[in-house]
Amino acid sequence: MTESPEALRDQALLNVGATSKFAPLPLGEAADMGQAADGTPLFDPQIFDSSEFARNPYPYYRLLRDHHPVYHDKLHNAYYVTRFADITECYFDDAGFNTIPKGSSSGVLGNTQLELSGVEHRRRRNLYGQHLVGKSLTHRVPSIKRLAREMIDNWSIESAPGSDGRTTIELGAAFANEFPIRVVCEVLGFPPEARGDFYYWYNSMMSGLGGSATHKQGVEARQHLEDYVGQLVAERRVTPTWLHDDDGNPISKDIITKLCETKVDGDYLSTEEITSNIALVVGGGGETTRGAIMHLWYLLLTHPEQFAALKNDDSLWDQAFHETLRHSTPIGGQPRHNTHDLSLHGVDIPAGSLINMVDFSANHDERIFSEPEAFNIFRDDLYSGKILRSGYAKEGRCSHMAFGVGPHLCPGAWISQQEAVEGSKALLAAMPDVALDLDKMQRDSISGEPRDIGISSIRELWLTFADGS
Amino acid sequence: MARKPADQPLPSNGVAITRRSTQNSAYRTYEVHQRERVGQSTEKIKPIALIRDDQLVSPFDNLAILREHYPCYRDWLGNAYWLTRFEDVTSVFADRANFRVPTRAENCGLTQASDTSASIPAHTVWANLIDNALPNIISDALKNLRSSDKPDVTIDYTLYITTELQRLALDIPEQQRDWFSTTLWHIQRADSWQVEVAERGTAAIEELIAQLSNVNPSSAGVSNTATDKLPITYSLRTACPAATPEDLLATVLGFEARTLHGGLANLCQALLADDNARSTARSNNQGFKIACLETLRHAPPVPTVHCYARHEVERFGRLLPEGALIRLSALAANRDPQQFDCPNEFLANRSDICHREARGQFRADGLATGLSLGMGLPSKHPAEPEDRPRSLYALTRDAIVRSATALFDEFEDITLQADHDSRPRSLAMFEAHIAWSLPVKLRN
Repeated sequence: MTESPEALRDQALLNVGATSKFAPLPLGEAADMGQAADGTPLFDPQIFDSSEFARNPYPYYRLLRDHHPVYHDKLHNAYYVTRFADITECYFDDAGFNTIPKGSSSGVLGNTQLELSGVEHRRRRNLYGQHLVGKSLTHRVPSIKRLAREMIDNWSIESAPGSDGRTTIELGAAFANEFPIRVVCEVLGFPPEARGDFYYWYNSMMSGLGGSATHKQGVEARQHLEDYVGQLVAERRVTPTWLHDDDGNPISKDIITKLCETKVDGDYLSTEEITSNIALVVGGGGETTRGAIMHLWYLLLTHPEQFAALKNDDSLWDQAFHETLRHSTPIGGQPRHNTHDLSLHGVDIPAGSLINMVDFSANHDERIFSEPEAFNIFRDDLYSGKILRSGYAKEGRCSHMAFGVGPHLCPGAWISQQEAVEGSKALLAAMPDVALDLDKMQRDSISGEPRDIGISSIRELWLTFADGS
Repeated sequence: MARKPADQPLPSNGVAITRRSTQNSAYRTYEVHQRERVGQSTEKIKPIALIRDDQLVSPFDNLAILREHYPCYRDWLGNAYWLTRFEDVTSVFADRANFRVPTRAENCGLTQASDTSASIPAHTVWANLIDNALPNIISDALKNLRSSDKPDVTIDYTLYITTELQRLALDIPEQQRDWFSTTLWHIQRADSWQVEVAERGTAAIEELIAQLSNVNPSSAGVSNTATDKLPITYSLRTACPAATPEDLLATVLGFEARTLHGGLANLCQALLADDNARSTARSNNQGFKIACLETLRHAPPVPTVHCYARHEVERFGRLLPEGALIRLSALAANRDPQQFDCPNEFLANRSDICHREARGQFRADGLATGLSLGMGLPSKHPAEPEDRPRSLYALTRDAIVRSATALFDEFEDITLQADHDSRPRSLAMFEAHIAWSLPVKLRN
């Protein structure tokens, strides 16, 4: 240490401006953030706030997994756990790692089972979770197919082919943004005329999470939802309504009716509680599936040989769905809150700390998945069978972490898979000779290729296809 | 609640998760964060705006928004609560039953060391240094400044003075002054969230501790034969013989030379940048003292202090969960218009500020004082106690006032280099807010 304080000061003053110091690098390459005395690469938490990280996250998570499997980020007052095995262990330890998020959802959505643990979590989760699995789900599949067809028929009418005989659509606007919402809307028991508002609620609440500039709109949309639900609840408390299959046979009461009839601690749920649960279903039911459909199509169209194989073998859709969620996980992870002082990988974490379990990183853990950055629907280390709450880790295959695992596994995981797969099958039938419309896709600032998915979901996916009529 | 027995085999991840406490579990089954009603949203400011680079120099506009609209702001990005009103900041800072304020040594990673800066022997050493050693140090610093090719008040004067005080306290030989100066620079940033900076700080701490382990107590002291008292010492090791090297360093950090250095630099900046303020300060024998207090209000060197909720506690209409990080912003509180008129102006003769150092509470005669949270809670002892030196606040103030007075007496025509942005700034978010660069012309 020979520098003078003056030189050190000058150097420190030069470093001011650090939040813009992460210039774009080729994908897969991490910025040099310094080294510890023993040569260990250091990690600058400002990277999390940079556009470079959103664009090119994988090398940074690899750095964390390899060198800082538990990373203490003092700037954001959080810890990051990034290895698959560690996250799995924590997810199963519901008592040691509370789900009470110090995140941002409850301010907008309201208090839901996301904030609960143990028996209370289980009880509330089952209020609607039972409608999204097993026989209930099997009964819902025909409606999912019907809703997909309805949407596609409607877009076919609205979208005229160009002079070259090809039609161009933006998949999000045309299908993926709204399709999951329509499914959720129906399962909940919302009347079809509420769909327009439903999209507003979903969009505003999801974009309003956190203290963002759109936070106000999120809170307002939540209130608007409650005002609407208040009327429905009043009706359903008197007159229960049912879900029917496509043949008109009753399947079960819709979720709102069930919530109206449910007692917790000997008392009926309040409108506020019901609305919070609905808000969660609205938010949770939309984003993962929307992202899955968009990413699935993007990845298939940028891997034409795999797409060709899939077109010839219908049974590959489930593999493609799971590999998509592993490769480009729509929801980055889940926050946890340790209930005891603990030490993991030599890092002491005081009780009450925010620990971000980074599913995104777990799904790219080379300790579990070989060549994790590669999209490969044929990979033999990914489990693609029925989604299990216990997860799957046998004979060299593991389930991915996109839906979490353990008691807090996403209750919409099963229906999300049905939506993405059935919706995509319907899309494939409606889009002969489909391809990316490269002229309209956003480009990567370095490679010039269509922009990679990165850490945030694709918002626009432009497709062109031949007139199939 | 289920707990794993201690002898349970390794979990499936193959790495032990060691639980250190079995009591005061933070486990709960009810909700902490409540839904926000319409009108409670915080759209006037984005959390990222609070940590952008422009905040290093000028965070005051954003802090004013928090103070005005969101006095207990939930910062989702930083996972913290911001308190910005004077009364709120002081009430939480003083509430040690519910909130834990880590010491500077703890923040720098010296978790096992004892900060004895408040003990009478250690405190006496610091008082000795301020009262007896400071004049000579100032004299040397003035020579430094005069002889420098590119005189810079911050580097050649304020930093030199504070480094020398600490060097003497730790018995570091004069020949190692340059090494110590560099080492101390790194140590002062060991609590940074910037990992590279923190790493260097940690390495510097280790280096200094190794050095302290080899240093013999200095025989340097001032023999006070006129009053036939024991020789006074500048050496912490002599005064606290049982202290380990780690304790000695923790104690020096506890003296909060950051505030001394930053307060002096920021005062010099204010007076160099404003001739009227300088004239006011020099106009009477209280001028520099009031200007010093105003500096600590207007530009407190320690911008933010972090504290943690010891347990779940309800404050400001919110349930703050155990472990919640609360950022107490002195920069915001010290410019609270509820406490100070024209709070954004530097008034060298400000009358609506307490003209004594904080004692017992952060106000006197109904007037608020500028918060210097780095120095901890105000002393509860008498202003001139019989059994101990005066408070750290008083010592720091006196050191700043003496040093500033000497500088402006020695160089009456000192001016800042033209076109130089000398404003206080933090080198990184949450770090000391100091006028780091004050290049001057000593004579016109």
